[in-house]
Amino acid sequence: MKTKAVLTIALCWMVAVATAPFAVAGTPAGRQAASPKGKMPGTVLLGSLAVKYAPVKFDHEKHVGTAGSCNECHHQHRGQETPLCGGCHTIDASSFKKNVQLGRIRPCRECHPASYDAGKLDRPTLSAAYHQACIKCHREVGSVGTDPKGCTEMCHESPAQARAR
Amino acid sequence: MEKPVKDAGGGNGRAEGKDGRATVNRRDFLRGVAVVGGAALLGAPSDAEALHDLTGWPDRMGMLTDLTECVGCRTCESACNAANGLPAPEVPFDEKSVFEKKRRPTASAYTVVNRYGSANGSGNPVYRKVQCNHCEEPSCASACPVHAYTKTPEGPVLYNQDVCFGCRYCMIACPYYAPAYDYESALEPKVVKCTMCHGRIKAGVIPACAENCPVGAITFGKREKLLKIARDRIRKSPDRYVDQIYGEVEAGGTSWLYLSGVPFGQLDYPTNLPRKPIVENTKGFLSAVPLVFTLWPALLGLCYTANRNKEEKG
Repeated sequence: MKTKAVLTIALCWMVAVATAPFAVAGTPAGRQAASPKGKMPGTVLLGSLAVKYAPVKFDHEKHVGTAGSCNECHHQHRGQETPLCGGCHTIDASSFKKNVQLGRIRPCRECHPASYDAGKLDRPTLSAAYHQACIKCHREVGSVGTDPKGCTEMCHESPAQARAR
Repeated sequence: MEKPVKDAGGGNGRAEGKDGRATVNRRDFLRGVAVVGGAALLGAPSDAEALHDLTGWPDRMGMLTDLTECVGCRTCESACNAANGLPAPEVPFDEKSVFEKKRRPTASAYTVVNRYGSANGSGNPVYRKVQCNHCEEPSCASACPVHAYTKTPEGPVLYNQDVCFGCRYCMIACPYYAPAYDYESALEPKVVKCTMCHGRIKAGVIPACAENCPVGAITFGKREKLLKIARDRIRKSPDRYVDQIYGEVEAGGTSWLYLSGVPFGQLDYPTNLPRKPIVENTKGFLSAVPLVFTLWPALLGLCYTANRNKEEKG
């Protein structure tokens, strides 16, 4: 009788341990797949501000390889105090040890206003934030930042180019 | 010499002569001269004293240009052209050949971008946007004989063509060479310069160049706030900027403020400007001019009347 009770408790405990990760994964803010690369965006179409040019096709995967660090683009706060990680990432303890980037990345537009905001003058607008982040490395690559035509050389597609396509 | 008949009232120095015409009591005349002359002498310095303490309109707006961000795309030029309904440029806005020489604002381009440093040399070229800086105490306004310039409470310095007669003193007075002259309209004199999109500001829209700058090199906002932002940027990135906000104190300060990574002198910014407004140099003299124009005829008229009476009586 005693042995049976012990076995039942042990079985319950084993079932609980085995199902715990699934319970965590089932929460809305649950962690994503273990492989960070698999969950990262591939080519992103940046088009929320497109007026003059066609939406920018941004090859995120390619940049992950060349940028060196995620901080080069994300969290680029020009020497300002780095905000708390949890401000942008939802992190659970189990994923934290492996990779901070597993959580949700807060979209740029949540902090950078899409248009003029008198209350956020010290923060670049969304357009400025995109351009500053890209131009930081791409300036003088080709004729970006030295020739007004450089805009359509690498990132933007001119209306004529869009028509030809 | 026969003394004029003293006025029974004795108050206003005016008396009826023998022929019934108004005469002037000499003592009262001298008293009047002393009072008027004293006012003329004292009036000017006291006005200048009061104006010296001007701190500006409290909520005036400004523009902060961060030259370290500008990449010379000329979008500001194109946006300005569209917002002001200016004629299409001779050279398209996406053309970089314009950078080969230094340009100044013209009647058909209220703002221009100039490039400094070689595009192929070491380091990135620096681009400087040029337009009216909208001084806190504009010297164009003080030089204008017909009051064609107004410093608005919103910050922009506006020009009124209706009263302008084309003397172009404003162009000489401006330390930044900002006003341009429309030589195409010979019969209707017209000075042209950036308006800081005053109409848009009044309508709650920000100036076109600031709205369209893709890299956020131009920030529009209250001048006081922009100064704080500029100081903050210098404090956080001391290696990126020279420790100066151009326009904070130059010639009494301007609505446009600039941050740069290279000394401003290298970018053709005038570096010899006094901290006090240029207006201060002429304010004492100019504030006396209306007094001279209004009081001297009165004084001379009094002298004439007194002398005429004397001649008639003598």
